[in-house]
Amino acid sequence: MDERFDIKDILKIVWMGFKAAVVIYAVFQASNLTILYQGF
Amino acid sequence: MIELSTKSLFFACLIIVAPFLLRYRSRLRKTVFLALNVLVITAASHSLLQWVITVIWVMLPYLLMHFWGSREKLKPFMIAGIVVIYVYLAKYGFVFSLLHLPEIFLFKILGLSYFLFREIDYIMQYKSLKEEGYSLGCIDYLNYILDFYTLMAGPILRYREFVDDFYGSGEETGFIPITKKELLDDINRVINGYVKVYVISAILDSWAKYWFDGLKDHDGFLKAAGAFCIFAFFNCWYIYFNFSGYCDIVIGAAGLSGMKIHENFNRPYMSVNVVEFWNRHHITLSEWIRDYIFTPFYKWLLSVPLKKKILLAQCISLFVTFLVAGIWHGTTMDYVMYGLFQGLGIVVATLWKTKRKKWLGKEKNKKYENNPVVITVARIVTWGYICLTFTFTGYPVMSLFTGR
Repeated sequence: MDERFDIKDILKIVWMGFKAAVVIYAVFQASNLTILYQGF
Repeated sequence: MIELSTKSLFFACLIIVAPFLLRYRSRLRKTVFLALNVLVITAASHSLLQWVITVIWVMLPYLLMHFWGSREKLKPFMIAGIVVIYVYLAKYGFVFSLLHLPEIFLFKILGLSYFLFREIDYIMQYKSLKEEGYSLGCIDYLNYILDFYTLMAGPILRYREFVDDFYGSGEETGFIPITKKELLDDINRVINGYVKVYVISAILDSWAKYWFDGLKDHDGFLKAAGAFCIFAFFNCWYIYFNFSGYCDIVIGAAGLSGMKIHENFNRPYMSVNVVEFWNRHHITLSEWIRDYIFTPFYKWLLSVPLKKKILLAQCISLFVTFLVAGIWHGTTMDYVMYGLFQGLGIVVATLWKTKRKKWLGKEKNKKYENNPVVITVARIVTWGYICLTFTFTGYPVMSLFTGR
């Protein structure tokens, strides 16, 4: 992969980072409430 | 032994590390994949006995086909034997109580029900795979059965597709190229999957549980029915977000490792009838049961007992197929009910379509099917029906009626 990242890609990465942060926050919250994913 | 949260963390680490190990095509790639698969199975085993039983269960079809693969007449017996072992290992409550079977193994094997599909596919396709020159070696077989990406909740792969995808043309070596778009899309899909599973579906699940637990506190039929509908609403969206989220995680993660996994969902709640629903929801399961349950059973019915009675044979085959699929989903009587309702829904949708075509004629029927009002009403009715049938999965709904 030798393509350059433009502003659109950077915004996309920032948006993904935000979503990942929400997931991490939810997991830490959930660990106290036992609503973690039960399917594993 | 790994705890629930640790398991999830372990899986998250695995999908980050795996692309670095698997995106490089070399002779070692299949061995590296096998090592990762064995690692997952070992981490999920609670004891040595569980690990040993898992290995025996996984290796059984390979050994059977290795020694007696050329004997076509033995195939039904092999499949029957594997299904019997599956029923025992999965601990079907009503089978145990009916036959008074002793429970020797107290554990549940991870991905057991998905093993079954792949094992049957391997046995059924063995002869044609051999004729077509597919690799049927032990490592390829184990990688197909144990594939950690699809082990827990599908999508259901076929041996042919797995080998084709894993080896590509067989001539390429080195790093599997990836474009910027593919990289960002795959990562985005994994994150979206995690949002669906850990945020949206976790919230919906807690709401569904809240309304289900409160069902017994409502006085009067109307209040209880209303509460049940709210529970059914949250539960059906929980199932969608949880399952499709999980599929997003594995499809995106496998894409990062240079593997393609089939799509399993296509906006299922937009279906206009139950038949279409099963073509949009858990697509790989629908295709599997069509190929290995519906088609053989339908052909058999037409060949002997129901000659020329095409519609009746079709309806019986559909009903039996979806009853079996329902029972496969879980081990309690609730799942039998789930299968019955799915089968009933499919039969009614098939009959309605066939009869309507006869009554209206080709032209009018086409107009009817394309009418936006009809489409909207059909979508709402189908979604409502699916909502109600989904209440039997994961919740002891039968106990509400039987009082047990």
